Amino acid sequence: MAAFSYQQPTFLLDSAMLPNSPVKMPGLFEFGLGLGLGDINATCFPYFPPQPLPESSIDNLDTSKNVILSDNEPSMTQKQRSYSSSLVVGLESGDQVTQDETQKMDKRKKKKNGDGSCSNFAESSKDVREGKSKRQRKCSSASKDAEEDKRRADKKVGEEAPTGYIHVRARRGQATDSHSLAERVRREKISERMKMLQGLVPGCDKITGKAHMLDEIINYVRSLQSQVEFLSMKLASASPIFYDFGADLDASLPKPPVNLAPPPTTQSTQASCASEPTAFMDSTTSFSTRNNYPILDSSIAAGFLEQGQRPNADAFPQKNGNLLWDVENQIRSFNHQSNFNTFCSFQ
Amino acid sequence: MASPSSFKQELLKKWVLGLQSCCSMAKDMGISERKKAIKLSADLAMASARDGRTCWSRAVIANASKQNESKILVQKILGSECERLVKASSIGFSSCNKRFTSKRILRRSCSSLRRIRRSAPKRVQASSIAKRMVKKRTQLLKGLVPGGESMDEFSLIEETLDYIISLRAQIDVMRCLADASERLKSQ
Repeated sequence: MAAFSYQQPTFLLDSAMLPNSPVKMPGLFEFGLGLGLGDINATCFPYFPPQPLPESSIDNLDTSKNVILSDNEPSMTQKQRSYSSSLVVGLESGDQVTQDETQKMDKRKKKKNGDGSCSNFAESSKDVREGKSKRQRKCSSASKDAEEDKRRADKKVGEEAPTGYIHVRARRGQATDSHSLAERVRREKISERMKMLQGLVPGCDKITGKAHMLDEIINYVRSLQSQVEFLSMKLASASPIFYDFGADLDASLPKPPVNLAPPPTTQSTQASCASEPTAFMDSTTSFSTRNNYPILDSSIAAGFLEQGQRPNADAFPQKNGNLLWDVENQIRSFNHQSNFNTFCSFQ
Repeated sequence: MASPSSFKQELLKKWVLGLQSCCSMAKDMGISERKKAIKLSADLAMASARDGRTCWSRAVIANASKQNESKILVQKILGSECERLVKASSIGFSSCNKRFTSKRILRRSCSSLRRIRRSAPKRVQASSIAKRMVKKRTQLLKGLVPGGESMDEFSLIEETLDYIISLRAQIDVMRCLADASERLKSQ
């Protein structure tokens, strides 16, 4: 059921459902935020997904509220063709499976045609659910409904383009006044976002309630913030390097021995954080002199970032993750007096 | 179109800028002050790397620019776009606040009317308990996410999404720097 309902919207959402998938959410909610803000840029913040997704599809999301992936059309049309053939067969047999095929056909048709309107997504998702509710009806009426749906879909495609309203179909046995419909759309938007958050926050796959999800989210945000605090404390006490970029360091900066409180442990503290206290204690020993370090430029920055990416088990895609254990070993044998730029040339 | 690594690179660049400026200012800071300066510059770098596109980043910038100590840091990190971003942040902030306060007034007046009309229910329904729980937690989340007070539920969730991602990136960058400094020191 979940697979069916999430097939249709976007590939981005699909991969958001996968565990440990790279995060593509920011690209999606750029457009949502742009509503009240007036300056929606086309630039967004997508991460490279493992599956090949055309980059311009993310642009489409940004610029309009549509979930139309026009660049995916070639694949879509192929699917359409295959679905149409199966649809013909299905209609003849009167099978319930045709419901699914029809729904998919309708969605893809709407995707192709509806361009500037902002209703496709809501509508198609409603159709998905309507298809599900229709499955509960008897088999005999299945084929008739499929045809009706097709006709309605054809009509709607013509209507959608000029209006730009959000068309929502009331489900069977539900209130049809505008307030509850709008309420339902809002609720579904929220639940969508909650599902995205579920993919983002670790350990939330099995949590279904909103309150529980919010609990987990709160804990996670708190833990992230405390990690930031801890890391900044570590950096503050650990080294004078960061205070004297581009300047010579004194031979021995008098540092008072630092008694550090143990890092704030929260329920969801990651394992890597636990290993840091030990490393931190080592760093409180006295340090030797350093010669002047050149100011970090972007190449050095890239080197640092890629070096550190390897141990992280986070959801960010690590394209170059494999390559830089070598670099790290070279850093260990690296003479601290030599230039940083040679370090960067390993990239 | 920014990739995650370029976001992190930008974050690191801006953070280093901030560190340079704040630490050239006072070399005799105590450890807690240094930690605050580092954290502040990291937060500002993170917020400015989002370029004012999200509500929380604008809130962070607005808060920082209000305090006198951090104004110079804000200018350094934001660089050329400083004025534009600060203005945008403060405007957005004030409009959000106005919207929020007006909504709050409306809600309060409506709820007080409702209370007069209805009699006290004898049994508390499960749905109302659930709603209260959700509301409590939403309030907590609003307190956590910067600038979250003046957001409705939907935008709050979106802001949380973005904020979590940026926090992760920030942690990655900071951890990289910390690890690298340790390794260099151990030589």
